[in-house]
Amino acid sequence: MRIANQVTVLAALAMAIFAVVPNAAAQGGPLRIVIDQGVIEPLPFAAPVFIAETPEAADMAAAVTGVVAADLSGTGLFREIAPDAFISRITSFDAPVAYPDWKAINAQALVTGAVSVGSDGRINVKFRLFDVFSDAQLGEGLQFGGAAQDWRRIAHKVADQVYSRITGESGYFDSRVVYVSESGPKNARLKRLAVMDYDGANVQYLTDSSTIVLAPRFSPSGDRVLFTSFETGFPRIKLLDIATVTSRPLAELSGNMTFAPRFSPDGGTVVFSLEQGGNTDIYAMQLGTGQTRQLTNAPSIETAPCYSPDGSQIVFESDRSGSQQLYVMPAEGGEPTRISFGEGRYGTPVWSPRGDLVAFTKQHAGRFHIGVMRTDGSEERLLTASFLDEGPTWAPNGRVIMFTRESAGATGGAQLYSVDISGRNLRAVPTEGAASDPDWSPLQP
Amino acid sequence: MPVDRSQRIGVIVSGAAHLGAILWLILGGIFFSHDLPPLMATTEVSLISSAEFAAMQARAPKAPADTPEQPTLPAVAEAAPVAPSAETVPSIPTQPEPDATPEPDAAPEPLEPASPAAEVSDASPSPPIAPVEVPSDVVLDTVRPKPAPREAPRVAPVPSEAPAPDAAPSETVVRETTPEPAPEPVPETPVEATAPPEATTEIVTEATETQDKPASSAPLVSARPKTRPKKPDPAPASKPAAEPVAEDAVAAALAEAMSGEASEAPAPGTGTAASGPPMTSGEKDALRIAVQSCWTLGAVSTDAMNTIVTVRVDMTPDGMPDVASIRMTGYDGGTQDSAQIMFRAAKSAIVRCARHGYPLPKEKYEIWKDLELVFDPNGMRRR
Repeated sequence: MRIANQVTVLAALAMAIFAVVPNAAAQGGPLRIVIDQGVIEPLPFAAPVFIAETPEAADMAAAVTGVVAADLSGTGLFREIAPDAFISRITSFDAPVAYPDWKAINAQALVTGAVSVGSDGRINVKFRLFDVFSDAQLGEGLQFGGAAQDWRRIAHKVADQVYSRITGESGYFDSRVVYVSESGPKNARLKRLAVMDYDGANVQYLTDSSTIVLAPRFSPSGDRVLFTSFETGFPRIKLLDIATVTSRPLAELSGNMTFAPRFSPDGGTVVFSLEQGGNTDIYAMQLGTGQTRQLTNAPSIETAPCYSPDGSQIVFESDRSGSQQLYVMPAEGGEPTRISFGEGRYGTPVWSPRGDLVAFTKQHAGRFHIGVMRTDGSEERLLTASFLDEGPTWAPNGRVIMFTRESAGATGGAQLYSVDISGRNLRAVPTEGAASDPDWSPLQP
Repeated sequence: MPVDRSQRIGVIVSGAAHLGAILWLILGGIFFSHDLPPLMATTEVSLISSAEFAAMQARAPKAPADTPEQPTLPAVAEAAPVAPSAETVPSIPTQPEPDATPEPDAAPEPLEPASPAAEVSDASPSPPIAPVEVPSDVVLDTVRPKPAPREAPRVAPVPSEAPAPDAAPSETVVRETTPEPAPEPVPETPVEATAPPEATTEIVTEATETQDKPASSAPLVSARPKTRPKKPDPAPASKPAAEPVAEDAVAAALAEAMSGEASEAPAPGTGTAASGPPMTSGEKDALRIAVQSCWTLGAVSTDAMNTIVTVRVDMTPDGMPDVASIRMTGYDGGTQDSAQIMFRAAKSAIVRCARHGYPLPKEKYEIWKDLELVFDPNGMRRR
């Protein structure tokens, strides 16, 4: 009886298969093709000089267009098509776009704009973005207004919009970088804090060079800077207000060395390292109350703490295992979890604004690297390699890392570099003289 | 006369003594020989008259005047600036020996061209013959008159290399061949460094380019985690019914097969199925390669690089896509925003690479008039 049932089941399945398969084969469905290999190359775009809608806006229009194009090209994701190749000319901001002419020069994106200067001296910049091969505008037209001296910020904001609409991720052009400006010979280097646009423009010095200063760190709102000062001979954390360019010690902890500060994501807490009796641990201080709490308690050196974007965790470096490695612990303190297991020494971890990666400095085999890894330590990737690379900081969108690269020799100097997290588009950041220890601000409002 | 016993003993003793003396004289040298003094060297000479000697001397060739003085030369270079001819070498047997000069003991030494001692010519009493030009084997074996060495202002400080050996005998004449000399190395001219094109299909980071080979086999990079799991489908309105028992499934399959309603597609021969031969893999690859060559992903977000989009497009018989028909029918692995970014990149690729139409067989238009293209960037994320 049991054998008969099995035979029946098999026969039924066979009939079902033979009945179904011909029907499936006879379907008039689409031809399915899988495309799994593409091209990684910059997207070509055209940015004709923005229309000057007022006579006095001609120079400003050209300057704004240049900054927009430079921002996009500087990412390494876009390639500007030379204006000489243009077939069509943009004569009016509202004129229809001749898509075939832009397709002919393989412009996949087209940015048009116009600049006007009001009677009060304020400028107004408006733009449109077109997806050429879709014969359509990409997003709505947008305009920005502001003081004439802020024309670079306005241009950066236009570029941020273009970048965001094409790539799908936020831009980082309207941001600033605080860093240590260096001058003098290598054995008697003078250092002072400076802040600049992300592209090296609009440099503003925050301190003089009478005191050694290190490790400036922006507040989440970008209006304050924490840094380490050697004003008293010992390293001490100070808090500087950018608007007034005044600073004060973070806390009165006489006799102790405090360094490596960093704000919490809400800006209300500062986490830092404090050395007592030859031992260094991580502490957190509430800025409102001045209350300090010890987060680690180990005989080893714990330093370079950095909050996760949600403020729930802290990544830091420690030599508790015998070598310098990266650890993650709860923001309130607790048992840390080691996340770096590769060869060499790891340090200066910085959590990505996206929260998915940790950038770090790695020293291995006599060379320094800037690398990234997942927050659990997986997918470690080294992006750079040189005589001395250190101190990574993230762009506001988590796509680019800026760091310090120092060349060898007595005449070698420090310079700021940036690199895409893919490892491409490594380029020097133009600064006035030597520069080190950058920290990238969030996008400006 | 009787001899008394004492006389007889004396005779016997005397006889024995004499006999022993005789034997000593005869055989004693054998057992008790002394070291003999060296025998005097004897030389056979023939006596000739003074007239014969004068005649013989007249027939003999005249030797250079300075030849007899050679053994006493303090320095070869100083005493003999001109090398004497080979005929003056005393070792040549045809040379009559001048009786006025004794044969120098060191005369054969210059015939050893390979001897390093020949290099020390300053202390040699031998004639200043350049040993390098008169190999000994040639001089000793030949009876031909040797050509005189070329005059030289000084003796060569070092012997030159021996001449090449004589050619081996053979029935046929074979010219010597020499290997073609190797071309002289061309000095490298400095060439300015050039940069690769800015576009690439593979990312090689600075760290990868300069990274030293790891000393151990431990991986430098952690294992890549699995891809993001698929998004769960929207919550069903109602929980599906429990799986039917096997008998019910068999019965359902049988009923479905017998009823001919297994799918929504029409029955064979009644729908829009292609009547021609199917697309070959080569034809499909041609289309795939044509589209992917325009699929530019250099300016998309990292989230978009995790998103797979499926795009449908209607094709015209001339291989051109109907741009208005391009639509995204689904996506996987990303957000709606990232899917839109990827759809835009896919649409751009379809349109840009169709300027002259895709390479599709016109006779199979019924097959490819409706295309479903799946754009999967997962293989490119780590490039």
